[in-house]
Amino acid sequence: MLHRLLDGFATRFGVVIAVLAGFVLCLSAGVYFQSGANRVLKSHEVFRQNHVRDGFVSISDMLRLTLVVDELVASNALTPALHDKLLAALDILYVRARSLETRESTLFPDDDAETPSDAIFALVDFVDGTMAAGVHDIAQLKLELLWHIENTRSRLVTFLDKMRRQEDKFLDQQAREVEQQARVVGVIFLVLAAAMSISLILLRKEIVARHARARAERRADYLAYFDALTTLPNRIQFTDKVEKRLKKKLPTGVLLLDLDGFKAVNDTYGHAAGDAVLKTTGDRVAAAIAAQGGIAARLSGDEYAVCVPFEDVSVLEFYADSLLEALCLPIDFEGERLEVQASIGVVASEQVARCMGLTFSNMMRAGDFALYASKEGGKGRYTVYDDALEVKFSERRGMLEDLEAAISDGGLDVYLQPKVHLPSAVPYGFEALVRWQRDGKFVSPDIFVTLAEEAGLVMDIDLFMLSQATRIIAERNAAAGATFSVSVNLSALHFNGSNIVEDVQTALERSGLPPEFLTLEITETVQIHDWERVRHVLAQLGALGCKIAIDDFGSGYSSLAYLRNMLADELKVDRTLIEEIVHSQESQHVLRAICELSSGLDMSVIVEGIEDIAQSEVIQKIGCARAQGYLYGRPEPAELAIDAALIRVAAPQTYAS
Amino acid sequence: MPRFSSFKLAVCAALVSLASPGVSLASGPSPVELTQITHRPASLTLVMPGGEQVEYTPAALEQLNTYEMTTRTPWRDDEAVFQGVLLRDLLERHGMADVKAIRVRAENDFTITMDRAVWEGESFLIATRVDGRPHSRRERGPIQFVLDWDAYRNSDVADENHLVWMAAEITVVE
Repeated sequence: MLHRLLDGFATRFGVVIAVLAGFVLCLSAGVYFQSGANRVLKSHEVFRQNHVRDGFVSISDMLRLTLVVDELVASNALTPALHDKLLAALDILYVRARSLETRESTLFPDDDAETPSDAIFALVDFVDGTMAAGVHDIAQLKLELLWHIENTRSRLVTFLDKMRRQEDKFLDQQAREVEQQARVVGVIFLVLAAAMSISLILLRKEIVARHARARAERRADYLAYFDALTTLPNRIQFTDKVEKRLKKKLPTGVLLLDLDGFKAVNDTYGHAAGDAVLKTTGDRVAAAIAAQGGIAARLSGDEYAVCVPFEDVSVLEFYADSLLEALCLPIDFEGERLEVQASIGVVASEQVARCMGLTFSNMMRAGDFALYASKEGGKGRYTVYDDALEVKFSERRGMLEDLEAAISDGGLDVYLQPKVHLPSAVPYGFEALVRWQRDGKFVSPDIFVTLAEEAGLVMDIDLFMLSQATRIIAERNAAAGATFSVSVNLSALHFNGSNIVEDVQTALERSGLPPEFLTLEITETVQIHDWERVRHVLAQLGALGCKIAIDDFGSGYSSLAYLRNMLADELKVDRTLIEEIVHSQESQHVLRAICELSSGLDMSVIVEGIEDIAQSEVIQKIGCARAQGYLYGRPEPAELAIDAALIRVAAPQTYAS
Repeated sequence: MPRFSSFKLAVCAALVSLASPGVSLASGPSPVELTQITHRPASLTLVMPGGEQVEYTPAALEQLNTYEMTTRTPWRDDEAVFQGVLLRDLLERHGMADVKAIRVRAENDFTITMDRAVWEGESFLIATRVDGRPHSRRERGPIQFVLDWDAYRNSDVADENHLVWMAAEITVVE
């Protein structure tokens, strides 16, 4: 409300109105004070006119006359000296009466009562008349004079009383005037204080806003080009500066750094420790290049980059070495020694210019590939992007491009491998497996799935397989009246914020496959951090009616906590456990334990990798009722696999030694 | 800025008009030759520093250079011709021109102290005649201090109290 009011005042119109109001207020106050002052001055005029003094002095003049009369009575003769004194006293009274006369008519114009001046004039006339006629009887003169004097005195007292009342009235008016003016002054001061307060508030608001704006602008400028945590330049600034160098064809070397083990520090010691590592790393990277000039930047997460004005490989290697050395030093954090090291990819502008055209993105891609090679080569090392790496890079880049195209164009194939009941070996479903033919040749899934994982394409492949496999099985089931189920592999990445529940639901709706015929196989992994979220997603998938299988169990950590948390319906025992099952008592014990465990957790067990009858017999003895493996069918193109399975369902065959 | 200049001029004009003294159109006392007449009995006594006294009758006063002026007074609505001598001349005659102040007393015991600035600033006429007649007590004579009406109205130093009538005594104030 206040802000709206202040905003209103702050407009041009508001200012004009406020200034006008101020002027009008001051003008009105001035006029009011002037009129008040005039009234006060007017009433003061009464005192300046000596009205009261005239009254009192008249009494004194009367006394002078009385004294002359006394002298006259004492000498009992009107001597010339007494004559002059009497005349002088009379003259003085006369003049006083003239003054009084004027005042009486001004002050009391409507008063008809006999006034002091009338009385004095009567006295003067009497004495004048007596003097003219000659004074014979002094005693009589005295009596008559005293009568006149007494009469005049009485009038003068009445006059003075009236004057006193008049003066009281004027004083009263003045007091009221002063009171009223004090009130007006108070109101004006209040209004002015309010106006001043509003102005100050407005001013302060403006200043505060201006400071905030300036701060925000400085902060925004800073954040636009710097990383807040490490105070290093950020990706934008790094890009700008490197691009400028490359455009000028200046020799440029770029070192891309990625911390090894940073995630573990973050997970083990918390984000504060992670931040300390990032900050220290930033400081060390900046210090390492400070002497030679160049730019150190934090690109994102635990990725840093350094640009140096050299392209000589031996110099760049020297830099990389010194960086590795600096970065592997332990970092103290709240008494803990945090240990990380870095992998570095080194690229020189000369190499990139020779291979693929000197652009910033090519520099970075080459650097990334060299960095990737360092990671692959065992971490804590650097790799220079050279001709050999260039070949690999080209190959990988080509394959990645083709894979992306295959995913988006539906160029991947769905292969199915049967899953069977034991001992009948009748297929009840399939595992859907992705196959990719590139230029007419199959690419090993190990290669292209790994590539897809690195390039972040694996979820797209999963979704492709999900929609294709459900569609094929639903169609064939409907056509043959069969009840085959299908398992689709899902990467654990789906649990980190994707829309997997909606995707599965969409696949089921589009294909028409009943949910209970879909099993989602999730590979045991340590990649899952947010178990709450995983359980929530699994519960939602379970609510759709799908089954959840833990894939490759026994090949990794085989965590019991994992088993308990996954809420799975099925456990797929990894082939590595089966390879030795025939001759290894230990393997048989483990499998038996898994089976008992699964039974207790109300999960079914399916054994993968059954390649011969001996293995089949061992697992059947242990009590496994479901299996998958080359013995029962290799992965084949979907249609062929289903055809074969349908034949087996129609004519079951037993596998026995 | 131009729109404020007229306002500024107005303010300056107002300030100047407030500050400048009123312009007097007074003619003031002018020299006149007077023929001798019989005055009413009256006297003006000068009391010098040290107590020495000199008494002037109206006729004795008129031995000084005489002047006249036509003016009204606060007690006369109509103008009259006042004749007499200058207060300044009287004081100078007795070497009292440089005194700090004088005290004037009237027959009716009214008393007023006049600083030198008052009689130096205004030409006080000590009137002994009105309209050619001897000045009478009932007309605020026989010896009355008179100023030109306009000079009196615009004076910064003189006020009604200085227009002493029935003047009887001038005493030097040390």
